[in-house]
Amino acid sequence: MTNWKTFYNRIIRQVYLERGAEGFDAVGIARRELQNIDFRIVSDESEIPEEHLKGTTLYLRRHRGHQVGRCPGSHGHLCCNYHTIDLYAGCALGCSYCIMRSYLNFSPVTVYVDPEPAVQLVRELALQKKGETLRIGTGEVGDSLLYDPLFQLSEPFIRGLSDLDNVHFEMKSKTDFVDHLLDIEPKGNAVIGFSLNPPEIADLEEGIASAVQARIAAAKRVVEAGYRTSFHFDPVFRQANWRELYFPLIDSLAGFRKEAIAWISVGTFRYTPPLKDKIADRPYLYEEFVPSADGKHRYIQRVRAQMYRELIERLRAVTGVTAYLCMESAAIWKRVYGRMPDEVEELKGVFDDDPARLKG
Amino acid sequence: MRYMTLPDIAALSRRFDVFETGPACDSQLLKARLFTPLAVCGDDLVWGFRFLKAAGAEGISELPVVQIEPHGRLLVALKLENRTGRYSWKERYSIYTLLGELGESEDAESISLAVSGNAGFFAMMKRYACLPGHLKAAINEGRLDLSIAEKVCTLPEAACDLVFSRTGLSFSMVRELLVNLAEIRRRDGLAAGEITALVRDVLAAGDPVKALFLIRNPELSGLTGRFEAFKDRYTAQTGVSLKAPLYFEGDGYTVSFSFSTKAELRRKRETIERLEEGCDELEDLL
Repeated sequence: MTNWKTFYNRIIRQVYLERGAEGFDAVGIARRELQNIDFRIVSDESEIPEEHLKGTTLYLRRHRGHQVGRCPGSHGHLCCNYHTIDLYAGCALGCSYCIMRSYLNFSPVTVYVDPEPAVQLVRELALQKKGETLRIGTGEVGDSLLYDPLFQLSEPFIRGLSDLDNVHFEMKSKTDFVDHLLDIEPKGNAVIGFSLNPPEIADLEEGIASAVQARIAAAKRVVEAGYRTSFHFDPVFRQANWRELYFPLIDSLAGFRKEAIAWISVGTFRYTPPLKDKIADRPYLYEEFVPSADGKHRYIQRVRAQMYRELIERLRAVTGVTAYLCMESAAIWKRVYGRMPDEVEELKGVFDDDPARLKG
Repeated sequence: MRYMTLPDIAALSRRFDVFETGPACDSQLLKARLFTPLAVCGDDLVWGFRFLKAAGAEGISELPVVQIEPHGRLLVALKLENRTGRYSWKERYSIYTLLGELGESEDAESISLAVSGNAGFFAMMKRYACLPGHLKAAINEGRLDLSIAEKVCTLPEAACDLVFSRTGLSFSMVRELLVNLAEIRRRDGLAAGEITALVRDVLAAGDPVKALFLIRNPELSGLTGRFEAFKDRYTAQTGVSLKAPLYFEGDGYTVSFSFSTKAELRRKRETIERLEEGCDELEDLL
């Protein structure tokens, strides 16, 4: 278990606070934890000095605009009906392959300290779509839990959505920072998920993320506490010995009951040309890639399909769960599952709108 | 303002002589002495080198000069030059180097704006400064852009020279060749001699870009080869066209044909039926 107080002293150097956001609970909690850091009040991000426009700076602000939205998906690729909440935008973990390197220009990590409007938005959405499943998460543009012990912003979502049967609120992380969430009651359908790569890859490519075994241990703790967990094998890297790396990792999930796993996703590594420009020295780029319909470069279709088949088969054998594919084409779905996602019986609930199918 | 003789001006330090191009000095205006005075700071001629040279050629014996303050003298030179965004790489690098010598007497932000029109001048020049000389020269000559030069900086000079000297290659072909070569070198751990030998082999091919692409992408090349062989086997000389999805990324193949007689249609149909027999082989490529 990572000592997150020591950890934050290493990764946070400056905190800027938007004028008017001083009174939110999350700000008060963070002030108590970060007593050695001066919270400087600014009118907006343009007042943050250039030398502080970096990942060790936090910018605390209220959200304006659409905090809750559909996952943008990818042109020509099938979307898994996921909704996103902007809570922590940006990330200091430093994963080499992170797509945010190519599209988040404002490098300080933005923390939206006013969760209540988003909770209300999700509630309204859930009530409008009462007969439909709403999978929604905070891990789209940042790590859901990296800063959460400091701001406790997941808690209002867990509590505030717990009475909604059709809402599955997911926190997705590469950390093991879950202990502040364990005692929250009621938990509703909240899911605490972990992004996984083999330690040999994570140690090289996932910056200061928690050790993979620590993430899996955290998954066990959240399950023991009464949450369901999820696993995201994304991005999966192809290299000569990829089976020797990924299969033992999958095997290490053998202790999880099928009912404790809300879902598992798999996606092979992909990149946009601007991302490649920023990470040109990484050895995994010397595999063969071809451009896809969405402009991202992926492994050759035949190669991906083979990897997916083997990974999904292994995951099913070990956990009993049928994994779904993240941002993949219809052609790949047909080659891997023999049919489209809404026709795969075990994935109904993820890809269709029946809330009863996703219950733990 | 005062006048100085040409020999006196020529005796001043030339370290500010960083501008290699610029508008020519009009001889009529020179003779009429209608031109901007030269800028001088202590022992430095700060700006006006072109006038000095042109005046000598026109037989003018003295030129007007203005003494300026040391603080901000490079910025004065840039303002007089007035070519924001139009400096060559060589000029920009000279300005960057000179600025390093002048230190805090210049305001870096103003210099960046005067040179590039934005705040990115120093970041860009730091990147440029890290490149080996042969790639700096290639950028200066417009053969490469900075981001490509950075990607290919692990290639030995001999290999780059071979590519640059090959005739008939467009800018984008050179770029593709060099990027693929750099990636192959890293992927396969090739020594300098090995990658240079590979360049020689590739450039000897009729289509060097394609030849290198096949080496960079052996699996895709294998798929292409298998597909072409399949086509030869099943559709050659039949009038039936068989197309694979681009990069074998997609759902299916396309068959097309035209016909004008019943007999022709029958022959095409027979070809399609033969294709069906080999369909497993096609499926395996996607």
